[in-house]
Amino acid sequence: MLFNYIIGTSLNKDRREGNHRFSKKSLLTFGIVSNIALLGYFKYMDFFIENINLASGSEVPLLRLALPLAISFFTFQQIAYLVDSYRQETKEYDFLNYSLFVTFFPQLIAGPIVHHSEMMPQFAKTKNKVKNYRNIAMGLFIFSIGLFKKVVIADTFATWATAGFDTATTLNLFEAWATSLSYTFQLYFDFSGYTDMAIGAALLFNIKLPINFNSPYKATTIQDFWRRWHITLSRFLKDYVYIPLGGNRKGEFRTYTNLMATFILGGIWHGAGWTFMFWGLLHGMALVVNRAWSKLGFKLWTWLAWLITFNFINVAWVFFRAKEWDDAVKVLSGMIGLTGIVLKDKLEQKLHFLSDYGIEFGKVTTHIGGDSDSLKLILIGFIIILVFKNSMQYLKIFTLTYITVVYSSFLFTWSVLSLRKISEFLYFNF
Amino acid sequence: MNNKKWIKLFIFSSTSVLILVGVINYVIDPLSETNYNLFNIEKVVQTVRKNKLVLSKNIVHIDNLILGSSRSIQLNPKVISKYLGGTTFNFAVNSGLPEDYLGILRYLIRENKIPKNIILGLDFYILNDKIPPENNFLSEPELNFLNMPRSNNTFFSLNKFLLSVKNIYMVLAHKKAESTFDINGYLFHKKEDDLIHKNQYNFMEKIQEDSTNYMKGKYSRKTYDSLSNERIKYLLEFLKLTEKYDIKIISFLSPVHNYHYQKIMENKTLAKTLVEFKREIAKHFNYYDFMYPCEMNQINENFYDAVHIRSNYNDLIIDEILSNGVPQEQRVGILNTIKSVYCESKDNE
Repeated sequence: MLFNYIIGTSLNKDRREGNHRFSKKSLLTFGIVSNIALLGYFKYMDFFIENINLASGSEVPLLRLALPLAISFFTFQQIAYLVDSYRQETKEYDFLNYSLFVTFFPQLIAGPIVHHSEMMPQFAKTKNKVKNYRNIAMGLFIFSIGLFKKVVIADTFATWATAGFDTATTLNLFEAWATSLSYTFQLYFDFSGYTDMAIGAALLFNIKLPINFNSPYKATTIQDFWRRWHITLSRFLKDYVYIPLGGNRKGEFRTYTNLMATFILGGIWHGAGWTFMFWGLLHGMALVVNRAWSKLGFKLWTWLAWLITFNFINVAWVFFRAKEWDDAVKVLSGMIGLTGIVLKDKLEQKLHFLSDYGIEFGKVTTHIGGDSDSLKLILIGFIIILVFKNSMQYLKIFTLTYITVVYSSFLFTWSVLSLRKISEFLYFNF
Repeated sequence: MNNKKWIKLFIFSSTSVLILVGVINYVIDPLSETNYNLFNIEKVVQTVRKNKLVLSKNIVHIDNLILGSSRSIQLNPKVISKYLGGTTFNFAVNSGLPEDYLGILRYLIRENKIPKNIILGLDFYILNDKIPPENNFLSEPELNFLNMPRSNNTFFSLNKFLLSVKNIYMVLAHKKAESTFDINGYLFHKKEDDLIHKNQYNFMEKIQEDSTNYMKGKYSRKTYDSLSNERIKYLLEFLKLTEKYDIKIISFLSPVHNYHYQKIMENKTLAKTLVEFKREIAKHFNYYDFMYPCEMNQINENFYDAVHIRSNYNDLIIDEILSNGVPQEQRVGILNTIKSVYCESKDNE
């Protein structure tokens, strides 16, 4: 933090003192390389060693370093600060406020990735140091929703997702779909739940954090999805990777390569592994196709566009979640019915003829430890993500009524009473 | 409503509900965690350890002691007494682990009820140190020598609250929790038997379901990759005590259905751990191994699920491990000694 603060201030000073541009650029490069080197050392070194060992047959021992909590998040925030200092877009902040900007506890661990320009003025504002009951009420309201999303919804889906990805050796068609959809819902409710809690906790201190999710699974194109999912990451990648690479200003082909590069980087940012990189590559490719499709002037029915987008996202999450390629292949082959189809035994009498085509009858979700509840809850998951407003929309229309107090209190107490084990947030890993 | 009132109402309603649930759970204590029964309410959930402790107090002396997990809970003391004579008590407990064996033996020594023989039913999962000591073990001061408190013993729990409500209902409706153990600690009735007799039991479904649960819980494939030194230490302490008091150990590794065995073998980590487990146990004492693919373990009707066997198979195990009369070619269990496990695994390699 001190290192970045000094570099950032120096970049500012250089501007005022009219130093040579070359040294300013070197200073910025030095700052960025140092940050990335630190991130690379802690997060990617073992991945690098593993691949060297695999390629060369060597046996270099892995470092097995403990990953500093939130390193990916605070590295990005500080790089943005350095770049903006270089671009002369920062003001002279004091070190205390700068430290608070980097380490502000509600969002430190899993975002939203905040920008100095939206945080520093809030820290400096005297009015924000006075108790504000409106913000406290709103904070408690949104915090309760977030806690419920995480503890009650996400952790319920987590059981089936974990069983399907990590434990089961084979998955039938419905199990594979239940596994992938469970993870798709788990990730959304877990991450957006954390964000809601961060926004709520920050509001207690009169700090407004940026919106990070806007009903992403309602998206009808992949571009639309990235405008709704982890919005602050998309903003960072756009401002500090895609646009500096040239964005869409250097012709169609360069636009496509810039998109691919940005999303591969986004994939790697999430984790050190080929599956993450592949997930980034898939999204990059989808964006390229989406862009070309729009350029050609093609249009789809909204429902079909949603269906394609959602299914693409769902399939791509399989690579994101899988710890090994084999796990991804297992789930995907199940999803296309390669490992068998099992229908509920109650249907056997009516649909017995299907057994001639290899369809079995029995318990549908045996290998993921689910029962009829898992399929019902997946259906409820769809209703929540598609029919209901999202938590930020509810926050916007928040009013001081008995209904909101009962609703918030109900969600809060249910969540607290369901806290029975340690369950980490998924994005803590990144 | 103004902001302040909204906040006050939120805090008041939330804390009131939490306190109410906590107090009800504490007073009713449905899982018998506190040993403090304010209204002398009979518990809806009777833990096996507690039941067996009570039953063992009523027995004057124990000649043969059965230890193990739920998979040994249906070893019939009467059948064992036929072979070994004397009184047999089944002290097998749900999710029994080496600390249970040691805790129970220490307790019986203190009570001066030292057995002459111990029939020890081993399970593959018992040396997985990712499994924490059972809460029901930790909440029995007569067994718990670990000086560890129960984990997760919060009374602010929704599940516990539902049990409390059920407990209150049972008291009000004058319903009693029925014990399913006889005076020798034998589980004489399993709910599953009723369904089996009514032909409403889907064996294969249960086998698959239970196998999945075991893979997830008892030896999650991502975690059971080495044997627990701590639990081996408990096992050695247990053996020391048996030597000191001249107690004979007759042990066996519980069978699993071939389907479940196959699932274990499909996982390289678990398959390797199983070989290590069998070797480790054989280093300390001989045992009969029923955990391998064979005809007996292929028959669905021999099992309630992937790992729990029915009474006919239990009787067969007793017959094999206690009688010399079973011809070699008819035996299911393989006697594992230090020599045999190392030679056998070498052959496999």
